[in-house]
Amino acid sequence: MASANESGTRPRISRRAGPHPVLLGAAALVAVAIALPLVYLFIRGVGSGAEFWELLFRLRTLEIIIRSALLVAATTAACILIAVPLAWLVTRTDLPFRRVWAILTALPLVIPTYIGAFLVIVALGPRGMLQRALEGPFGVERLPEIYGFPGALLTLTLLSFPYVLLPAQAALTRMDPSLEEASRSLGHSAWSAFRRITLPLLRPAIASGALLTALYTLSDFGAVSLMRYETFTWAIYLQYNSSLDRILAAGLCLVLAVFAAGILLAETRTRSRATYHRSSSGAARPAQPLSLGAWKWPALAFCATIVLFALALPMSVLGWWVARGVAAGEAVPHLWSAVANSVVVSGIAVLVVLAASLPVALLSVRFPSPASALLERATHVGFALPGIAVALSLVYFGSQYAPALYQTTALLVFAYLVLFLPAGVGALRTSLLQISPRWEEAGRSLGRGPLEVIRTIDLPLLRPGLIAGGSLTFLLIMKELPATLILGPAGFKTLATSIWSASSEAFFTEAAFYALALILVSSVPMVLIIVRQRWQSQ
Amino acid sequence: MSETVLRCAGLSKSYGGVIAVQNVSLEVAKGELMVILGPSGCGKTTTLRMMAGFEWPNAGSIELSGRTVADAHTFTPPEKRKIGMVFQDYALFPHLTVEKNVAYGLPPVRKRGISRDPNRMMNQMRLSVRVSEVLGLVGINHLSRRMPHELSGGEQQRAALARALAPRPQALLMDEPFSNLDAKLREQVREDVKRILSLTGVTTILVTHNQEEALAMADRVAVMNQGRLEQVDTPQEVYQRPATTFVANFVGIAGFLSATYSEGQLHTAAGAIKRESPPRFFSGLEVMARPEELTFERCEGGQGRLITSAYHGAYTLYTIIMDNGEIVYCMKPTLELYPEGTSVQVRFATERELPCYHRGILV
Repeated sequence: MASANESGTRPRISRRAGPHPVLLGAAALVAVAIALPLVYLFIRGVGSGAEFWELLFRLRTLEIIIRSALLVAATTAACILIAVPLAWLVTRTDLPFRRVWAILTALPLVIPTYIGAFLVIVALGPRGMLQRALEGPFGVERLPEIYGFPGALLTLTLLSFPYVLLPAQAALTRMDPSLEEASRSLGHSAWSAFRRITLPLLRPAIASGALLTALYTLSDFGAVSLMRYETFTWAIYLQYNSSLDRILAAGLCLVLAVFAAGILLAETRTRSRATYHRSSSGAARPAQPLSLGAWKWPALAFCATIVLFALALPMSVLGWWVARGVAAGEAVPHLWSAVANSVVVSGIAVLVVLAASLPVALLSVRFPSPASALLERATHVGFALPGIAVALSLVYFGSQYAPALYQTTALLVFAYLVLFLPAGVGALRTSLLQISPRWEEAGRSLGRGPLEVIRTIDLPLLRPGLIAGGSLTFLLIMKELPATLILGPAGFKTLATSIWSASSEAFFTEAAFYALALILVSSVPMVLIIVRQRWQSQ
Repeated sequence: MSETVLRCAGLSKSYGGVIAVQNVSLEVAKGELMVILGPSGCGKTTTLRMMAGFEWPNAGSIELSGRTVADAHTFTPPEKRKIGMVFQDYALFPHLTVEKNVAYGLPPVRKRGISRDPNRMMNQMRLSVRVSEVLGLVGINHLSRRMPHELSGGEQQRAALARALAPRPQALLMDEPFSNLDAKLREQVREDVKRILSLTGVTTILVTHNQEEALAMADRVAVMNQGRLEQVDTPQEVYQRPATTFVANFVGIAGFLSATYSEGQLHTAAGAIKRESPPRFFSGLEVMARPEELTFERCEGGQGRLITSAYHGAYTLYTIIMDNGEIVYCMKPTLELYPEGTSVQVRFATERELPCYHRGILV
């Protein structure tokens, strides 16, 4: 009925009900794009022959691998331990002020690790604020060493646990409460129902969050460099900086990529074959909040401790610097142009990332096959590659093959696409898994073609996922430092590069102004969506 | 015969070596209500989804109004088939009101701003007229502004039916449409749906595992088992002359009595019953009798004994074990209750020629 072919025209005929060619073409384009840096790394690394292999089998490379693995495993485990109970407390219980906690606990995500690590050192380092506070009354002259593993673990955990928290919260909010009720009716306690039903159903959300945390830790540069803990990224940076020897840097990047592939493989194994969209009729009822009783107090203390260390302390230290700067009348010359540059380039990049995520997510969820799974997995590799590696490969690619693009924001946006595609794909995948394929079939049976169905059914239903994924990506891009430094056109200053140059020249007050501006601006969309989510779930 | 709207020939479908549908051939006439009946996993839903275009057959062909929509060379996508589908879970679009759900399948009207284009205004009017027409038809015009989750199960069912009917499909496919409704409501909705379908005269294929539903609604019933069609016939024929013992057992309660043939009669433990034409086999025969076709009297030393009774109010269903170990069922009006263990004399309560089977096949 919707189409115009009443009698004359023949219906379009295709052999089988596979994915639409437009979808396939778009996904293939994305695949080629994300393959570029990897291919460059491979050519530069393996192509250089004996020197490369020698580097790989040195003892120092092994040490780097062990240190990186230790940090990734510890950070991921710590993030899950903090995030899952938090997510449950703020979505399913009668915790006082749970909407406020839900917002506050997600906020540490807006603090870049280079700011976070510096604040940890200022607070807990030798001659830091804590030590000086304890020296007077108690005569404490030395605190336990913060540099190295403990500092890196502390910083990365406090700043990246929201990667697990946000998907877990979203999944808990959308989960059909009748499943838990069924478990309770079968004689299980609330705890047992959580462990046997809720937790397994949360697994895809936790796994995708844990994957993000693990890859983020692996590719983080800010925290490990300031904490002087030599993992891959710092080693690569030292190599690149000290000798300008791109072959060795590329070699280490390749090992890092293999490492990331290993993590991806491990996550694939945790995915079960169960489907997660709701199959019952009608819409989900909101869950009946569980009464905490006397447990309310330890729960509150838990939330408060996390918020204190991950948000309140860093922000007050930062605020103190800014206040001191204002009192001293120090001016920050380029604040507004840096804000504008950051917002515009990040905003454009977010749209590009979301547009590229949609075909990948649709293919992997709706047309599962080895090829589409590989494509979806492959998008994550860009996230594991440190920004510096992607940036170096694009510098090479740009100067060699696309001089017109070299030193333009277009190339920078492309680097962001490679780096942050997994954030977009992850968010869309989670939302798509909750959209029943019956809705799409209903659309098809009512005379709408596959692309029409994506436009009229999937996109509106995906809107919460698109907004959530978009704000997360925005935040990540605002914070990104190494690629922005290397690929940004000459004279192009964003908030991130301004913080970096100010703090490396020890203009700490100026750095504090930029840092505060970055945190405030990048968190706006995040706060808006969380407030809206909470408000709607009322 | 009236015009055939849907014709399946030799339809087969397997999933990685597991055969779901095997050589299914079926013709549905214009305006007919065909019910595909079978146990879960028999392939009935797969057959329906092939008709809709959500699955493509491995072999065989499907014709809609004389046009081939699926065979070895062609595959028409679902949106080009002009079929309506009512899903088991209704699949109402959760982000659209009832009204917009129903309008979804109609030619879209661009709505940017107020238009003076008379054509567009005509289309807009046509659209809203059709929407309220079908909503009125299913009796939920007053709910048009509601969101799907604000409707009861029965109302969602009607909305889904309205949405499928709105574009005037050549055929309507319904996948277990009543299975999500409670029993009392189910009967009511079933009656309403049957009335609505006959009002619109739409050709309908309905899939169910509920035999009572199939017999009450269908013009013809197609009974499926393990991917194959066992019988396609009117409800009366399917019930009274099942083509196989599987069908006999699936569409109702069936008692079987071993029988021998002689001189125009089949002789069983419950007595003789007429048989005009001699069967192709003379041994290994079984006569099928429905519970209402047998009766009994209390009788010391009779050939049967009551083993269980199931009280249904107006009538009671007795299970009887015969001397030779055969089990039969007998339905009696509840005028008197017979205790279990009562010895009884069983006899036929009908004069009609009862169906007779050899190795599970009607002979």
